[in-house]
Amino acid sequence: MESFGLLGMGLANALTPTNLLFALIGCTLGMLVGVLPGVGPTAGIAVLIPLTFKLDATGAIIMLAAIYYGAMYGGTITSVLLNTPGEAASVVTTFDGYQMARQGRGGVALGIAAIGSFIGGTIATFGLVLVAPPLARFALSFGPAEQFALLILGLSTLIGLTGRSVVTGMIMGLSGLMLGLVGLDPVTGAPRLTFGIPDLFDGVEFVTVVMGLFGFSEILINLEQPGPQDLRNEDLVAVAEPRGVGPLGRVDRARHWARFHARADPGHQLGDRVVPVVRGRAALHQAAARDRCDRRRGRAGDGQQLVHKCRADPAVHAWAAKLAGRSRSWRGRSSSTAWCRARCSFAAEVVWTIIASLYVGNVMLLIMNLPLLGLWVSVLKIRYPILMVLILIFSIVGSYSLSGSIFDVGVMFAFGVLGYFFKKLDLPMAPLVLALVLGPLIERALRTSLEISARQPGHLLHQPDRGDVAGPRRDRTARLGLPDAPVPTPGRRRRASRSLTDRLTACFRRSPYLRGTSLSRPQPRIRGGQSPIDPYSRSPRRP
Amino acid sequence: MARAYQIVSVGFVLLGLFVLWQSIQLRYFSRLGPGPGFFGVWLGGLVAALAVILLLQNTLPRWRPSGPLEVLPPREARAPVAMTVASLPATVLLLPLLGFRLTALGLCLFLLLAVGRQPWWLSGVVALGCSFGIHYVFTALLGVVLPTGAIGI
Repeated sequence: MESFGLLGMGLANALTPTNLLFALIGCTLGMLVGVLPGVGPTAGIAVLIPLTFKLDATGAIIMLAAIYYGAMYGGTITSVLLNTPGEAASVVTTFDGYQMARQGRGGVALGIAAIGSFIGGTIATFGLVLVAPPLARFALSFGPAEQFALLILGLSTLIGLTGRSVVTGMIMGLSGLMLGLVGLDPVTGAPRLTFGIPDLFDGVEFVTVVMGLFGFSEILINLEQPGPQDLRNEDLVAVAEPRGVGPLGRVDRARHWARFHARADPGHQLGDRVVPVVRGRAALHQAAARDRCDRRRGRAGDGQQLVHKCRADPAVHAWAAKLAGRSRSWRGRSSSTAWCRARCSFAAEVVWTIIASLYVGNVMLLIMNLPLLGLWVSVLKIRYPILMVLILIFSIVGSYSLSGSIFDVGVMFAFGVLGYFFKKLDLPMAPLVLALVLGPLIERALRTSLEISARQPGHLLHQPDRGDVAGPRRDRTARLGLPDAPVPTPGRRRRASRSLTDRLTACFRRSPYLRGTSLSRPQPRIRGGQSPIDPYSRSPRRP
Repeated sequence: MARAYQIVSVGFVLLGLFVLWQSIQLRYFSRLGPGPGFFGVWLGGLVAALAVILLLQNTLPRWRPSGPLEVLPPREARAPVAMTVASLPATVLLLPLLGFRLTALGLCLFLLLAVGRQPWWLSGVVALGCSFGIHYVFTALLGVVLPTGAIGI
């Protein structure tokens, strides 16, 4: 019930005029992106990220989310009218939708898709509300070793699902991890793979890579196809239907109830929003025999686009900076507990507002789609060269404005050419992009885990038995059916019993730079064996 | 088809070995734990090893894939693709000299007239919108700073 209360708070925020406006703009742009040929949701969001630079965090994420689901729905229009799915999730819509459109019932098909999408979105949103809090509580008990295992699991799952072979998927994933190495080492500050170029000290920008790999490479792929705009005008199926009035005729209502269920499948909807589009991809492979699907396969939905865009979005970073700035002021005037509470409250407000905006966006899509169908159809007539120039200019603006560096524009172009060849060779780009995002997290989790375990790699396998990271774990080990860890030897137990701070202090004291100073000298011990200035002493100090 | 994948495999082998070589020069382990070269050594080695497997898969007759694979663009599309790709380094070089507006104007006109073969009036209108229009939207309305050239625009 607490979740529904928070959802109510989120709805109140999402329904403010400003956020409604952002959702409306996002839906409109997303529909435009989804309808336009040659621009998928991934490339569309990547190209449109610069629009959110000046927005506050909540508004920016609401707008990006609206662009995402607007683009996902926009793909349905091309699926029905052109038999050309814009992304993997729309492939199933072509099976019946295009056939209905050929029979002169395109409007009915689009109406079914719109209402079905609304029902599915509603179920998915409420599912998210119910599932998210227990999942979040479970995730909070994770330590570095568990985080490392989870990140590797996510990456390897994606590698297994994409590409023509596991080897190529693994190579692409590891290449993404290597790309994540570029920049300064997070612990020691040593430059890695920067070749003395200052622009690389901050690493390779994720958005730049995505714009190149997905947006610009799509331009080059489309240049190979003769006259896409003419093709679409020829193939465009009449929307005005002789049978059935409005989006859903009376006769069709009962007949298509089953199709509502297919479209309103919450797994499908939730999958589109939260987890990789496994079902959509499976459907894509199923439909790969179709010529048009084959032509589009290269840019078919890569999982977790929304999550990655939100993570990589500068607006999210701005939100983090804003949070950090506020937290400093809070720290100055209040206790740490109050600061934590305030931070959690702020984060909860943002998260629940975004979840609520998903539902608001669903309603908005339904309202927009039914009366404005003719408008979206006319958008299909935009000439491709104009569209190509627009994508290119937006990509240049987006990559430049991330850090104000022309070097990033060059990087974007370089990855565009690479992405073109990756698509031609059928090398999966999703693992590379995901690994680029997860790379620093994986490295940090692995290194922290090894530091905690005193360089024992076995710690990663037996971590649930350890109790020094995040609370009691033996129960969970038993519940998951994992074997117990071997009994540690006395030496290993002694090493493991030293906390990270103890070892850091010891290293600090042994440092040659401090030799001869008072800090390097062992402090005189008093009765009981504890140093009077030892801040890490576990027993109470004696006077 | 196999030849293209062989070239790609060799490229990945070289990439992995390069990263391995670069990472070896960094510290593998320090007193605080894994050093900056730790992750790179493993990644470079793994990529090189996997690329060797890929090379073997595409070389040994037992696993070699068959069928044609067009890596380069088809003959009729080579000119537009080559012109588009060639315009990119030119854009990067001209951006600091001419600024965003003039560079974008030139790029749009080139792509619309030479690659897209659009009418000149339409190309002009779209190019102006994409250069000066987008510059106005981003700088004046969204507050995003775009590059200014040596002549001040």
